Amino acid sequence: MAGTVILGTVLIAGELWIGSLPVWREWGLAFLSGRDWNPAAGRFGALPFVAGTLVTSTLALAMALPVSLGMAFLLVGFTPRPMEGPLVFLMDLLAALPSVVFGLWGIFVLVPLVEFRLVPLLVASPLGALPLLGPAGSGFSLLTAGLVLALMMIPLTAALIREALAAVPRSQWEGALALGCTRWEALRHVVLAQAKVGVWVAVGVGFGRALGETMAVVMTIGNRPDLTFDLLQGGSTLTAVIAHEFPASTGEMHMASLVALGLILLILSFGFHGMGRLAILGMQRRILP
Amino acid sequence: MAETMRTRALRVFFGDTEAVKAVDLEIHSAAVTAIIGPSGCGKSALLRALNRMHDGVRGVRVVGRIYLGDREIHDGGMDPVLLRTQVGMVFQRPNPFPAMSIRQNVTFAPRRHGMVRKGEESNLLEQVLRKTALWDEVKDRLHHPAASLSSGQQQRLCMARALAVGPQVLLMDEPTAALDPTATQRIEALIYELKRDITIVIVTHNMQQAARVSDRTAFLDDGRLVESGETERLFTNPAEERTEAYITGRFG
Amino acid sequence: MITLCTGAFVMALLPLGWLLLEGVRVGGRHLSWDFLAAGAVLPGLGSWGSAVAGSAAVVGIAVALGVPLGVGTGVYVTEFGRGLLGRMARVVCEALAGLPSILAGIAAYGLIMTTLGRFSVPAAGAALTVILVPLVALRTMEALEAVPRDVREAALALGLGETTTVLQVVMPVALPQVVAGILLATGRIVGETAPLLVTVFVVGGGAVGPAATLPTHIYAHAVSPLPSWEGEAWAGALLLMAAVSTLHAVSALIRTRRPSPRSHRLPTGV
Repeated sequence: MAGTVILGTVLIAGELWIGSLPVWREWGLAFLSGRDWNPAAGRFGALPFVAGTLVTSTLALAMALPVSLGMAFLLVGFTPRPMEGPLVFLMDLLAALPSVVFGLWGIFVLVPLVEFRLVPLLVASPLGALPLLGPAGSGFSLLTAGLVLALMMIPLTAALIREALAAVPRSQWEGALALGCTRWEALRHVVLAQAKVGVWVAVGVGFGRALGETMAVVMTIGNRPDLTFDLLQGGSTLTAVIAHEFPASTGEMHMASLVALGLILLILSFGFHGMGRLAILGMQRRILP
Repeated sequence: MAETMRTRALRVFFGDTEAVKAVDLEIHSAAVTAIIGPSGCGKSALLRALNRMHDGVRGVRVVGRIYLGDREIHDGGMDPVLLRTQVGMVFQRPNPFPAMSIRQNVTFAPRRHGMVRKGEESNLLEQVLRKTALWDEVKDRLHHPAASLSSGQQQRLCMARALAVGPQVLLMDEPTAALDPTATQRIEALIYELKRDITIVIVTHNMQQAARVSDRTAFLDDGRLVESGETERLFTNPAEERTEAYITGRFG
Repeated sequence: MITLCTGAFVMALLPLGWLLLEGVRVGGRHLSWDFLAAGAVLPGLGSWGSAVAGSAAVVGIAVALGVPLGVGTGVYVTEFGRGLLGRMARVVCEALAGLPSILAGIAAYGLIMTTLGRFSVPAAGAALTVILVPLVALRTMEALEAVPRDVREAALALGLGETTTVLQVVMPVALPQVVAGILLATGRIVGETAPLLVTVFVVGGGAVGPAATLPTHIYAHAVSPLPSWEGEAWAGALLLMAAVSTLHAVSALIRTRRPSPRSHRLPTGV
């Protein structure tokens, strides 16, 4: 049984490697730094998508983390007990909503909202001077994709942070409160300090989920294979370009390039996961159990 | 049915720490042997070596010989599973199987071991429940979940469950530590009854309990067997200074 | 500070609530028996009813394959896998649980579509199995680890073998949690879209995949330029959300009926 799981993982990695072989034979590692993606002209490069994935995921995390922390604090420290169960259930459910539904909402609600309300507001505000915000484009943009990703991430990270905070023993709370700390101080200095590892796990899981999220991104990001850091422009990510072009790929090289992007995503995702594990182990100062 | 046990140069290691240090202990048959000592002295580690509960636990190593009657329990012919049907155990906290009824808790192991035929199960059940003075309390709700009993009743159920396998020796690891005084009293009365047919070893941190229920007492300190002998003699006229210091409450 | 936290809470729940509301409002208007039978038929992809059937088939394959494999792996890793294989399997399960789902789709496409020919339902089922197995395995491990140690010891002290102890004593205690976990994992794959997009939905070279599924149908309607299809997409989304919510609700019911031994709560009245 356990062997099957390991074998399956090896098969997946092997399949991505074999499927992308033509790419590595043709361009080698230059594929990674290629800025040009034009299937019709037979030119393929990974950089725009790697950049798009990192930008949208980071943006989403930056927006989701403070909100998730706030939600988790509220749930653990300041929610009356009878309400806790239903609220936790609601958050679990929201975390499990299919991403295609988020994408649907993104297309029909968020995109117009961003285009006609949020962007004019942002450009007029002091933030408009940031190099990350160029001239306003359509609502299908890195910013919108980041927003949807953040929205999807929040219930997940908030639930994980809440669990980490809730796992700190009751006696720790009481110890702090007995010293005359307020509930906020107890939470901030005693409980959060002990749940630090759990909070980082939540950040890692959330970011990992954002890296690999496909549907909500492909439906809102505009799917333009350009290398851009302008959040108001359309872009693409590793997952989005695969979902967008794989079902109608033109020719062997196109398909192999998409699989190669998949392999890059796999390495990013597993690499990030492994680094996260090591970091957590370091924090706990102990060797693998 | 009852059997003697003895250990020779028994050592138990937790990682690099030696928790039990070269203990030679005699356990008489059809009698109660109490193992006393301050917490952390290795008394539970010693007890758990007697039915090989340390087997398969990561980082724990048992060195030395342990005899059940004339047979060494680590011998090839004696696997831990077989040994544990002969040397049963009752734990500190009552631990009935949560997903089973009162009846199943008792009959599950004998049935698995092929010790009892279908028709005789009820006899065995009644017999061990009577032995543990539970019968009258539970006979009308044998199919109820074991968790529905009080913790004192649960502990007696665990004793009945252990007895149903027909062991020659019963090990008890602070069996009353989690119980109130009334329930404790009932367990002690049971121990007194049971020792006619079975060898009992009880670990306790409560010296009064050791004095009340045991025939022989072994005093353990820092993993070493300081002194052992007749309970009455050990409590009234200890040979070692350390023993006297402990039983008069000057340390521990 | 509490104000700030409450603000965060409202800020997050507002759009999420909006999403649910939009689904019920727009989707509810379009949902009917008629809609399932006919609805707008995408060229070559069938009706909404066939999409529901397609989803059922794909998820059915994944559950039939993935549940035994996942539970088996979980039991092996927690109870028997003390060696290298067990530890590796746990690490792999954790990594695999975070695998971008579209990669499962690409791998299944490569492995199954190219060897078995262009038949898409098994490929999609295989892709979802890859996603389901680690989730079920991890839930099983969690459930088994939550069973108190003294339950195991009690069984071992009665001279019961390791296999008997695990299968007949420990497993029955963990079972409600395992079943609840399977339901949650199933809820997750019911809504998975990306791996289906590259297995069932492939339209390469004019050949059309033989099955429609609910999530890919929603996607196809959502990105179509026809405005009238927006409502139908929402109706499909409503169906999907209802399915996921039901699985979650049943799972929560099972979990709370027998409280887990690990449930701990913090003081709230202090």
